[in-house]
Amino acid sequence: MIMRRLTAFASDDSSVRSIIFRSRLISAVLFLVAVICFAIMLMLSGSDQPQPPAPAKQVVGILPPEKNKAPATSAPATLETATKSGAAALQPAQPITAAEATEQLKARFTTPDYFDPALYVALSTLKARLATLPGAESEAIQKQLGSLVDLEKRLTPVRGLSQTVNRELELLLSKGGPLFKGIIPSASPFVGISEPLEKLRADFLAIQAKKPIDSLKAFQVSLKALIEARDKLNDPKLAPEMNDRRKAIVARIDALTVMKRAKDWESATFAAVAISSEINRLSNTLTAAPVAATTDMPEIGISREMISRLFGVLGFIALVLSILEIARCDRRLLHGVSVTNMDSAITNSNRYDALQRANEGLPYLQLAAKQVSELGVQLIATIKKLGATVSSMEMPKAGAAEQQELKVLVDTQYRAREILKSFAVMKEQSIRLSLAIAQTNAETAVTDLSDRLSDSIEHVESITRQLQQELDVAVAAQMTVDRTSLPADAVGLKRDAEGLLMVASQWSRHFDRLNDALTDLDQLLTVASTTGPKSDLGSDRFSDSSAKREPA
Amino acid sequence: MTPINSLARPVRWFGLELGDRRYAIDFRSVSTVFYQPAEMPKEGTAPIQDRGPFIGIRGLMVHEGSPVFLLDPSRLFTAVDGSLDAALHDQLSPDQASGKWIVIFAGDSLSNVGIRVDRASGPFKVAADPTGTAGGVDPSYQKEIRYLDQDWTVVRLRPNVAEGLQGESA
Repeated sequence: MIMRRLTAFASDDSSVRSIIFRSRLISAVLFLVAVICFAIMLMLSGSDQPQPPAPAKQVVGILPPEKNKAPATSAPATLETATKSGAAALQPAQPITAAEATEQLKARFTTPDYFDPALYVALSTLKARLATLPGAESEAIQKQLGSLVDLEKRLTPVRGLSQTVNRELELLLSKGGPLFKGIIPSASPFVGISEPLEKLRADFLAIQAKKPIDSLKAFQVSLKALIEARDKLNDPKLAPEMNDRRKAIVARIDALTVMKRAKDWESATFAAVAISSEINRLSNTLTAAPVAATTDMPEIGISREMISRLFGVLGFIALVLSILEIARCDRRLLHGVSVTNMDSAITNSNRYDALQRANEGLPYLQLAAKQVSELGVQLIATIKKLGATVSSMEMPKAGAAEQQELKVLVDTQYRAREILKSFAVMKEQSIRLSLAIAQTNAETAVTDLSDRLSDSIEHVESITRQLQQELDVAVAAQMTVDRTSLPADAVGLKRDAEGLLMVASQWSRHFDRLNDALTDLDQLLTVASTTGPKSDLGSDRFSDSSAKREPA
Repeated sequence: MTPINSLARPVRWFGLELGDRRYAIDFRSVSTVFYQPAEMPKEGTAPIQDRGPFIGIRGLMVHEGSPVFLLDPSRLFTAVDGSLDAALHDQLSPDQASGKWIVIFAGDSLSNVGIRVDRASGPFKVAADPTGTAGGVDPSYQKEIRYLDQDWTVVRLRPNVAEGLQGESA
């Protein structure tokens, strides 16, 4: 069944798929553009955020540049004196010129020792002095310097631990150690990890000797390589090769201080490298246009902001366009040029099945609706007759023609019983109609209408039953005792009958509307089924009957 | 086309009246309804009476080729707060069964179950909270609903109601 349907749709399917693919591609590209625009906007606005100048009294101290020119040689003792003297000298930072600032920055970042606390003291000082220098670049540099100083707590312990690290690496890597270069076979899984360990060993020796390492970048790369090589050892593919000895080596590697701290150090050094290169770049721009920097800075700031906003707007537009593209494609597929397109585009088996079921259920539905209509017509006619009978009831005066009165009452009683009986028959049809509608998953409008119809049938029936009960009482009274109670009964009866008539007239309108709705449903199903595969015959068979059906 | 979302729509009830008892059941569980006023034989000609293997079953009929067991309310339904008391709800003895309506429920097995009632009405919907007593509770979890100024006990089909119908013997 499904296969047949699939082959029927196959030709349209590929074209539909290409439409969908194209549309999705466009929207994906637009979305990407939006993301890029937003990223640029964030970058621009992020680097542009004004940094509040650091309050001068927080400045630790001003070290003369000469003293910091060789930070490698400055021992922690220097730091202590520096901080002490800094604490003593709580005075406003000295103003600095752009050229001077660049020079100092260059000096700091030629061979910086990131593991020396003295560097950070010097940088804090420099940052405080830069606060006196107006301009966006200066602020950016201050911000970067601030971030770098924040890294102090993470970077300086490297030196503190370097002795331990070196001892551990020595044990592991030197001759006799399990990862000695000479004894690792080329196929060993430890080849990958031994290389970064060797490089790190060289770096850590330099760090321990309080010499600036050759390149912080290389150090960071080695750390990263170490982390990656360690992760590779966890590869489940290597599991069979891992004998106990190898597992022991892995455990020893894991026990290394450098291994334990690798992630933290790696991220810290990475940040330091990035910040340093940014500071270098900024310090160059600081000298490139020192005058312009001071005067044009606000304008540049505004234009930057403008650009960032522009990118934001562009990103937003791209985002909206990508969403619109998806919506447009869906709309095109759903409300295509013709219903044929719609049906072939949506190979939704649920929908198709629902249609099929609706198709199959339609004849019953129409039959039921027709019967309900006819029964309704009969019923209304009967009720009208009842109305006539009841209104004639008051004509004969009491005592004038008792026999006739009784006859009228019995007649009414009989009519009411007939009505109740036809009601039951009609209700049966109405329930069946509701069931048929429910089983065909018809539109809500039709369901609501059928519900309203059943509702009014219930109401009228309850009125009729009341009438019947009153009639029974009246007939009983008439037959047994005196007729004094009759006028009151007659009034009640008349009232009920009038109510019944009124409701019945409302009710014929319900029939009309139900008929309209059924006709609509019928047309809908006919359209849908003629466009669906292999159901043309079925729909024609009963598409006429609704047209012929006369309203009740 | 409007998506079919039965969850968003209010429950449509189907009313069953048996003597002075009134039950409301989800309309979706009703398979079909018959009105059989005169055909109901009082002397027990057509339907199999409660003799032989059909002890406790009010009757058996055939609908669309499959047997339909007409059961007592306590056998067929459970209320929200537990099963129905047979002494209270099954007032009529099997040979007194005089209901003019037969309601057959949507079964999942070969044999279906149904009930003979005096009056069947519906489908109808009940306003979310007509009296305020329910406090906005989902009507399908209320014990009773109010419709046409009458209270209707909310019931649902007992799970595995058709089980053991054939196997039960005196």
